[in-house]
Amino acid sequence: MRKFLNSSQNRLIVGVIGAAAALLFATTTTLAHHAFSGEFDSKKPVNLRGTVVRMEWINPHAWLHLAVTDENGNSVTWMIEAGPPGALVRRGWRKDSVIPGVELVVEGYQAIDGSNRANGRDVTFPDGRRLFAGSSGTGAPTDGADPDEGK
Amino acid sequence: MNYRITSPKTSRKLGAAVFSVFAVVNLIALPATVFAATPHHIHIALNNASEAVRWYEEHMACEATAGRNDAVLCGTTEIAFIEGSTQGGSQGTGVDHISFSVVDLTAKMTELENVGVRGSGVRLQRFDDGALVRDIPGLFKIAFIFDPWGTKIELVEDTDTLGFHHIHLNSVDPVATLQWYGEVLGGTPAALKGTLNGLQFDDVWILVSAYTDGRPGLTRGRAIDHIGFEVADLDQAAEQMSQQQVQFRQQPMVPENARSSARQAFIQGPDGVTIALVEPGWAGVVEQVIVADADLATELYIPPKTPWGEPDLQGIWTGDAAHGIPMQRPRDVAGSETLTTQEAAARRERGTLNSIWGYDREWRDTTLGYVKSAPSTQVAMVVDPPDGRLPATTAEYRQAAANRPPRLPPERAEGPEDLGTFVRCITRGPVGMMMPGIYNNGLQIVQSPGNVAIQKEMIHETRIISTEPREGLGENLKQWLGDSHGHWEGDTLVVEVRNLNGRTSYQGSSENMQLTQRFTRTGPNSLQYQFIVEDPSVWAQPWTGMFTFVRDDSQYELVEYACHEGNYGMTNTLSAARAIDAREAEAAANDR
Repeated sequence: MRKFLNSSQNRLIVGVIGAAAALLFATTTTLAHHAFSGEFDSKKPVNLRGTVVRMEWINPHAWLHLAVTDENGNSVTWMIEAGPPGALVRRGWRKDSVIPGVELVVEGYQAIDGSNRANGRDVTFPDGRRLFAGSSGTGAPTDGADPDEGK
Repeated sequence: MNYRITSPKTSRKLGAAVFSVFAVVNLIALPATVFAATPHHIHIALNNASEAVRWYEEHMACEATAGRNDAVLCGTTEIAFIEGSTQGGSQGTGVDHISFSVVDLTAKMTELENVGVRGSGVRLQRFDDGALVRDIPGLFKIAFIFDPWGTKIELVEDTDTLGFHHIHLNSVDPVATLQWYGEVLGGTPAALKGTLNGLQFDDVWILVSAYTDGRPGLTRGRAIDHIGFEVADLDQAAEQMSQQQVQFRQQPMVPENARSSARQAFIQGPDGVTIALVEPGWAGVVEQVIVADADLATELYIPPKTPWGEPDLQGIWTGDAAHGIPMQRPRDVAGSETLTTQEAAARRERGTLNSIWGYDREWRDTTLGYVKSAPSTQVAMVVDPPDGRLPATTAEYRQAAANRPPRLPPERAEGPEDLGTFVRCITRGPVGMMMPGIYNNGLQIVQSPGNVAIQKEMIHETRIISTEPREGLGENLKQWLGDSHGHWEGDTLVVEVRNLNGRTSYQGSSENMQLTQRFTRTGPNSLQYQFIVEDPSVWAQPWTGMFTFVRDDSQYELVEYACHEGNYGMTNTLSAARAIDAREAEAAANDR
């Protein structure tokens, strides 16, 4: 399982944001449905372990609802933004991939308003298996996001 | 990546490396040829050769070739993999698929189904009755799969010949094609199981299916880039072929970066198939660059027609290949006509990684290794003016732009109206809606006599365009997507768009914009899209952009949008803005 983001990784992410901003000025053909930076806080990485409550298969963004036990022992529900349903299906997701009760670990960034919402950068099972098999070794590039890269 | 298949016999002779994938078969009786050509390799292009070696070892019972990380032996045939980007899968090209024979096909398909499509998995094709396996009377059981890089593979249960089984060609005239291969390359005319006519090169068959959807696509630049044959005396073979009027695309030579001193030549086979001829000892090429013959493709291709006689543009296409092409030509590639495939792959990957930093690459359709279409090598979308740069804006436009209040950043938005029409799930407008992003690039076209319907997945616009002459809207009636008038110019759909409301500005365009869109099929799997923008209040001269959609019927489906009801992004953005307001107010209060 991945470790919580450390400070050097945070620096890396900041660097990537700078590159993204530069690219948006350079090319207008790269776009997404909404401004990520207007919703989520890159300085608030979260590492959530919980059980699936439900999955909303919405285009353009699916939402995963995850029951997480907080430091006081209370169960709170987090909403995790995921990718578009079509892309998930093309990656091998099926409606029974994330059934209620399944335990998952989500790394992402919390909402700016401090609510229990986050984008889902990575989703893994507690034993470290990735929900999407084969993020490494598929020809995917090494972008620094995967701590196993280069080993 | 591209693969080549080579016969194991050759590989054993060579001891090590056959880079191209040719099936090498020793010919015995050659009535039409004076020499014996043997299938040598099949050349497959992909983006990760070592991963392909592993995949073919694991799933197709091939063996890694000693001393090489880019070739495998499959039964008696070698498949070589070339790292490079491809212009799409093998299906629909002159070499539609390759085939392997297994002992128990049902068990094999169960095994592959458990692998799934994830990661470097496999796609399984179901027959129209939903089954994965079909028993063909008089032949054997068959099934179809696609490897992770787009090569179509037929699996058969032919216990007479296990392992690599056949190369399956597409042809507008199968009888003539078989005759051509027999006369030029040899092979023994025979009937597989006494029912299916083909050519036999030892254990490897060449079979041909009739192709009715126009012409098959060129193999060059596609997943199966070419097939190769070994000849003992290349000069003698070349001389004979010249007498047979065979077209040489490359005369015999030792290519740059060749691993041996053996020479290689390329000839043009029927139906757009590129065929390599190699001398004994051929061991492939290190870092071969795959270049698609775009001009030849356009020249050869005749688009199919609908039953009522209009050019048939129907199907599901995606803009994934075009993701990353900048609108304007960057200054540092001023002199280049195209990027190399490596540069193009790197550019799309930069665009994919940089465009949304928060999401895993798994979320994106354009992630290297997942995307099925090769990145475009176009340097810029703007093709006219020829320098690839937008024309100068008018003084009137610049003055108006300077006086316009700046758009609020999302974290300052007071309400939905301060955010763009894209975020608000309205539309990106007729120009913007076509533009590729990192996901939801699907474009579906459906036709009926006199009408063409175009639906774009992001963010769910559908336009129904009449191709019959009709009266347009009055000039005061302005619409988000304007008023579209279509007509056919030869095989090209031309759509003229007027009456725009100007609220979906693209690159500064105004409500005066007159847009012309042109859709032309340039191959079985390619749909060229041009957009011509005329807006004299903004630019002193018109400009034209262009990119190509790639057909993706086999795996892509458009998913219905739930844009408004699912637009948590809107509430998140506005609540984030209010949270920032509150923090700033608190900080200000503390300062007092």
